[in-house]
Amino acid sequence: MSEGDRNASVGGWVTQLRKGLVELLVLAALQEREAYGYELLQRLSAGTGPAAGGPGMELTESTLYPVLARLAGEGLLAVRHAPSSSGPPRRYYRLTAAGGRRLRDMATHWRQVNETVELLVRGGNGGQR
Amino acid sequence: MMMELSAEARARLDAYLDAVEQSLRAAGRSREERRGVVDDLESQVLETAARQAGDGVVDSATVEAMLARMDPPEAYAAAEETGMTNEVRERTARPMEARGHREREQRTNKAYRWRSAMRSAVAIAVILCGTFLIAWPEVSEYMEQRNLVRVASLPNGVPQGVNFVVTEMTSERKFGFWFTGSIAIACGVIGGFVAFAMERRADR
Repeated sequence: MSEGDRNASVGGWVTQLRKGLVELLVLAALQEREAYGYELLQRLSAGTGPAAGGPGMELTESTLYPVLARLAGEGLLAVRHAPSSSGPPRRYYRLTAAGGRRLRDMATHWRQVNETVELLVRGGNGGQR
Repeated sequence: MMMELSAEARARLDAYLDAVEQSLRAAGRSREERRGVVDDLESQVLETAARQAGDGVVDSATVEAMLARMDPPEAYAAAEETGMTNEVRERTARPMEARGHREREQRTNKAYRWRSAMRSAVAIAVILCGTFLIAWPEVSEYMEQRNLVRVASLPNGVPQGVNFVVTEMTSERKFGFWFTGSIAIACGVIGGFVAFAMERRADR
C-alpha cells in the first residue's frame, strides 16, 4: 500500500470518527451558555483548534448548521430569536433538559470508549518496545 | 446608517440560500430544519459582511468572495451522511468542491446564454419567414410582370415553342400566404419576447 493510499484510508477513518463526534461537540459547547450558529461555529473552531492546543475539528457551516437544525427538531436544543444589528434575527440555541440528558449519556460513553481505546493503544505501543 | 447589501449582492446571496434550501429539500429535510439552516447561514454572511463593510454598502464582489470560501450548496444535505467535518476535507476536498461548484455554475450560465441566443435567432428567422410569406404574392406578381415586359421587348419577339401562360395568384392562395405569414410573425414576436423575459429574469 502506497503512502497516498494509507493517507486516504486514515482520512476516511478520521472523517467517520469526527462525524460521530459533531453532535457531542455541539451539545458540550452549549452546556455553559447559549449561542447563535455563527458564534458556535467560531467557538468550536477556536476551542478545539491550534490556539487551544488541539488539532482542531475545523467544522464548517455545512456540517454545523444542519446538525443544529436537526437537534432543535429533536427537542434537544431550544431556539430563541433575538434581533441583530447586522441582519435578520439571530437564532440562539440552548440545551434543553432532554439535550442535557443526551449530553451526559454521550459523555459517559465517550469516556468509556476513550479509556478503552487509550488502554489498548498504549498496550500495543508497550508491546512493541 | 447600517450596513446594507447592494441589489446585486442581495440577489447573489439569495441565489446561494435558495440553492442550499433546494439541496436540503431534495435530501428530505423538514421545512423547519431547512429554515433553520438558511437563517443561520444568512445571519453568518451578513455578520461577516458587516464586519468588512462597516456601515457602508456591500457590493456583489464582496458577497461573491465570501460565498466562494463557503461550502457548495449540495454539501449541506450531504454533510451528515458523509461526515465532511475534518481538516482533510477542509484542506483538500472543499477547495475542489467549491471550484467544481463555480465551474458548474459557469458552465450552466454559458449553456443558458447559448440557448437564449439560439432562441432569439430562431425568433428573428421565423419573423423574417413570415414577412417573406406575406410579401410573396406581391413580389411574385411584380416579377412575372417584369418578365413579361422583358420577353415582350426582345428584338425577335417570343421564341417559338415557348408558351407564356401568366396565371394570376388566386385570392384564396394570397390569403393562405398572408395568413401563414401573419401566424409566423406572431409566433416569432411572442417567442422573442418570452426569450427576452427569461433572460432578464435569469440576470436578476
